[in-house]
Amino acid sequence: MTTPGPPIEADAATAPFFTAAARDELLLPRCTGCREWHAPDVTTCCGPLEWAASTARATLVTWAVVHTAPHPDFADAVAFRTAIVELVEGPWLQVRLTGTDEPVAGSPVRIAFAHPAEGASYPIGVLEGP
Amino acid sequence: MDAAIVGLGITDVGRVYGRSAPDFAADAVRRAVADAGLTLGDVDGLLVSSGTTRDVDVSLQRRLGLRDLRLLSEMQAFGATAGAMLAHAATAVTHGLADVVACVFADAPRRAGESSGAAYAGRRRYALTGAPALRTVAGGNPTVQYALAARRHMQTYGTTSEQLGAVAVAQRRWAALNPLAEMRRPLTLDEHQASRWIAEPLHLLDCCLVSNGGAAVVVTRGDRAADLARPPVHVLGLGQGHPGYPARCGSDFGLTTGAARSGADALRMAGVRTGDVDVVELYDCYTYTVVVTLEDYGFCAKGEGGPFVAAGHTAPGGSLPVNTGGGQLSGYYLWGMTPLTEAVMQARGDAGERQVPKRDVVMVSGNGGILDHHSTVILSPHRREARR
Repeated sequence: MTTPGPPIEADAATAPFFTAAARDELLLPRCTGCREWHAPDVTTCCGPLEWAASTARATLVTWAVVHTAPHPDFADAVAFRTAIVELVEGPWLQVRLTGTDEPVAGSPVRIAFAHPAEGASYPIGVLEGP
Repeated sequence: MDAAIVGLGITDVGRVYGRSAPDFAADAVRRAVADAGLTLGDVDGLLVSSGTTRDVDVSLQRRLGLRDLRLLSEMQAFGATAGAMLAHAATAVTHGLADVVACVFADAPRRAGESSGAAYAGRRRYALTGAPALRTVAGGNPTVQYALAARRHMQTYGTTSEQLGAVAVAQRRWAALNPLAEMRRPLTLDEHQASRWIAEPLHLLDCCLVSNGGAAVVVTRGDRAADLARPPVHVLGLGQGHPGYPARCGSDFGLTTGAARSGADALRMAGVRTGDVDVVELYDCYTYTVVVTLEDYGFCAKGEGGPFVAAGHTAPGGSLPVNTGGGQLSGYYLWGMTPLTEAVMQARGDAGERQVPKRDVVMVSGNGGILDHHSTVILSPHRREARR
């Protein structure tokens, strides 16, 4: 199955994140001061941030079913689910959500990875039960 | 604070083609100044706000031929900008930085023969690099993000799609009474429920219109307002709230918005309580924002916004008239100028068939980004003595 959506690429700040995604590993920024975990776009905390390996386990915060393609490259993929998930480390991540169960807030989600033919690999969510 | 809105200008709005956003902006300012009984030569302050076409800027001064301005800026807090412009103008006239300030918004995203969806799709800039690209490949866009917010509210408080539909139905009833509204045909809850999904849980009829047009208000000091052409609408209270939701556990995204802080600040400044508010004009880019803003302002308890609207309180004849012109859902979509223009008409007693009987205190919201920015304005036909 081909991966829907446009190709994306890393920038200097997120190169480690996308390099790890290519080998099916989820890295998140973690503060070396307070040890707090952050979402991938966070660049500031009380101390320097370092990329650290997440468990890639999460629960569902909220989801939507996308019926109108948000980018032309999704035209053949609608309808699909998008979701905000909360990783056990605390940060939120927005991902496409696969899986056949009917979601509810709090449903368990495992982070997997899309490896499109073109562009960087990135995380997706797999719903693991209601 | 001692400031009043003394002029209101609204251009032709909706499916109006062949005019640019700066054209609409200039037209709106001219109309607002004339409405106040003033001339462009009286204007010494100009605040401008652009929509999706992003081409309304400080060059509007030259287009209008305005000389020797004492105040001029482009402002941007997305849907909260109208309230932010009004706050800046009110502060400026109160402290003598300017005497007559025009605040204007205009946009022209629609093209003839295209759907409202196409109006935005062609202009959208997609983040394809770095962390912001993750939302793009997740399938996010502004409507989808509001759907995520609405779903969280539904999952947490039991809000239903039928309750969101009640917002659309109530506002269509108001729109039927408003000659300025684009959608005036009666709407049933069944029609709302049968309308196609855009991003579930949001149906097409949970989403606002897309309009071309412009609107402006003219602001001057409260003690000067009474001498002008139209009944003044005094600014009693102002507030803003920009929550800066962290993307992590504990975030209130979808549950509580910047309206909570913004509304409380504005009510305190005005010296009134929610029970004193006669009419409410809310930023309704989606039905859901009406529900959550009613809660955050304190018109009902948290989680009770859906049942509150479904019980009919906000519709014509209800206990709390809300979005009395049809709002952005059924009236016209001029960002924060939609609620502000209707508020001015109601406060003046100019709203014709849809005029609410009691109009001493009018509360107006603006909401920008994905619930990222909020502004509140409390208006009244009655002046309060300037307070220290």
